Amino acid sequence: MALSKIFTLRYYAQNTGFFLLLFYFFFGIVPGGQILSYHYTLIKGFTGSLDFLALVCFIWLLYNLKCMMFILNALSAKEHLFLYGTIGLLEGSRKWKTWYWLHLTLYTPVLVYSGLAVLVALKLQFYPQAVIILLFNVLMTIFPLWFYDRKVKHPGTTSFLARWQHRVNKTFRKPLWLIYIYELLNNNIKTLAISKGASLLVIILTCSLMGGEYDERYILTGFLVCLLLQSLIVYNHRHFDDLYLSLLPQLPLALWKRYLQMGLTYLLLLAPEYILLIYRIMPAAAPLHLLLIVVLGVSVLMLLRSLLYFPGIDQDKYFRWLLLIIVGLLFLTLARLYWYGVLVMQLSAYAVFLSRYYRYEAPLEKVD
Amino acid sequence: MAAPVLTLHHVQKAYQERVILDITQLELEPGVYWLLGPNGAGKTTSMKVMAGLIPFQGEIKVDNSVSSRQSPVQYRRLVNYAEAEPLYPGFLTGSDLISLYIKTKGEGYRDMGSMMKFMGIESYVHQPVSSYSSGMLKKLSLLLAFTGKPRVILLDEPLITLDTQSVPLLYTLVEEFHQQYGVTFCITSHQAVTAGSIQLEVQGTTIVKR
Repeated sequence: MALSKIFTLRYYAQNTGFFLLLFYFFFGIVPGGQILSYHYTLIKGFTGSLDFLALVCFIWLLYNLKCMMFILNALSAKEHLFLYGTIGLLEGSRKWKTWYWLHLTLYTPVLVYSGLAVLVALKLQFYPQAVIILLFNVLMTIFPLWFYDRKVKHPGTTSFLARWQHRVNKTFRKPLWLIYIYELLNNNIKTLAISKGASLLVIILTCSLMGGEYDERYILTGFLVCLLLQSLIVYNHRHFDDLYLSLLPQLPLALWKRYLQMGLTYLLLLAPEYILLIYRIMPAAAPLHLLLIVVLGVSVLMLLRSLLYFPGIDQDKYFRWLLLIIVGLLFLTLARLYWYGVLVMQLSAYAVFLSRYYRYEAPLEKVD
Repeated sequence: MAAPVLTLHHVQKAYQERVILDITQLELEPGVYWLLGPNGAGKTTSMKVMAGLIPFQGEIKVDNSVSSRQSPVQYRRLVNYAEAEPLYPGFLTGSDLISLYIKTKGEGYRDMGSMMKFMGIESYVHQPVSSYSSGMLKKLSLLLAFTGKPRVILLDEPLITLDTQSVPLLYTLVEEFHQQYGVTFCITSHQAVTAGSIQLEVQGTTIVKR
């Protein structure tokens, strides 16, 4: 009972907002009478396609890591030091059963849904998929136990991850263009995961709905939606630069180099979308189309970031610009004038960047 | 009289309608300057303007030739700046920042390894800055201001959060860089300044020599 209070109840209490949002997406956006058919179609969709199933498994893995991190962090908290002298004394099957039960209580939402998915897969005779889901979830519930056991046996020691990170820090110097990616991975992982998850889903849906014949306009339209989903990350980039990288303008770097660094950052940011998209359309798409997608994505994000160097661009104005750009590109796409779009984006982005970079002043700037 | 190292010509900085800085002409010859003034006088704004960190009207030149407006990259190579309250992304390590500065500003007058040892930061330089205390962070930011081969180093409130053992080390570095390499310093402080240094003061919206 004490363990339930420490781990299970606190976990659900802390994540109420997260589960409410999840609940809304699963049951709130569909009319009451269609909930069953909606979920049946959804499960049929991901059990019927190995790509989609891989994405779903990835999301489950992320959730599992979230559960794991919660338990490990709770074990590290000062007020839970007594756990080392209690759970730490358990031996053999009692110890494993306790950990297994604890982890299971946190992982239950996925287990319930994946259990239903297995039943649907069996009904639809997707036997390999059913086995994959089953084995995946068995693995998800077993591998964290080793980490819990290790943590309790070695209190106060630095984790493998921390040691590995320290070793990397000693040998690898983070280049300028990687700093914002690090920030997203370290402090904004939720925003990144949501935008990437939604973006990858859009790509899968676009490719699945396109049918047999490849049409680059169809793909580009889907890709524009993906870019729309990255807009908040680009907006937050300015805030991050203002707050933590006020030193950057002081560095003696040519403007074209700074511009190129920004391009590299966004190229890396869009890498998951590029990889999935190229993987899905590779056989049908011409190499020039693949290049177009890469250049277009980076150009749009670079233009959005450059616009943020104008004074007084708040969220409202920024999203108006964003919509204007996306709608403009949509029309150019439908008219197959994509390269003109890329040219306009790049020229405008570079011109704005050149003229505004040194004249930009962070809105946070205060007088001494 | 020696030729000025830093020349501010018709420099004006305003926030909305309020003019914070309005300097018609200010010439700093080689030396160690202490910029004095009460809180809110505009010392940090003056330093940021001189560092090229915030936009302003007018022109600042180094050695009467390198203009902050015409040659912003070269200007930034010659003027270094350390913030009063440095803030960096927590996941970056001290060595990440040092590497970035050396990469952009170039090799310094002195070997970085020996400087790190001198300031006593080599033991934690590979750790993320999120694990640093404010004093450790301050030492790192001061060290970064000594990278490259600057003509001018601007130190904004270098003495705050610095422990008593480190203050003489900083004074030694300032003295060494000024005497041996001819670097001009402009330092803001609330504390009593060293004897023999030149004092500047923010008076109203301008800076005057005392």
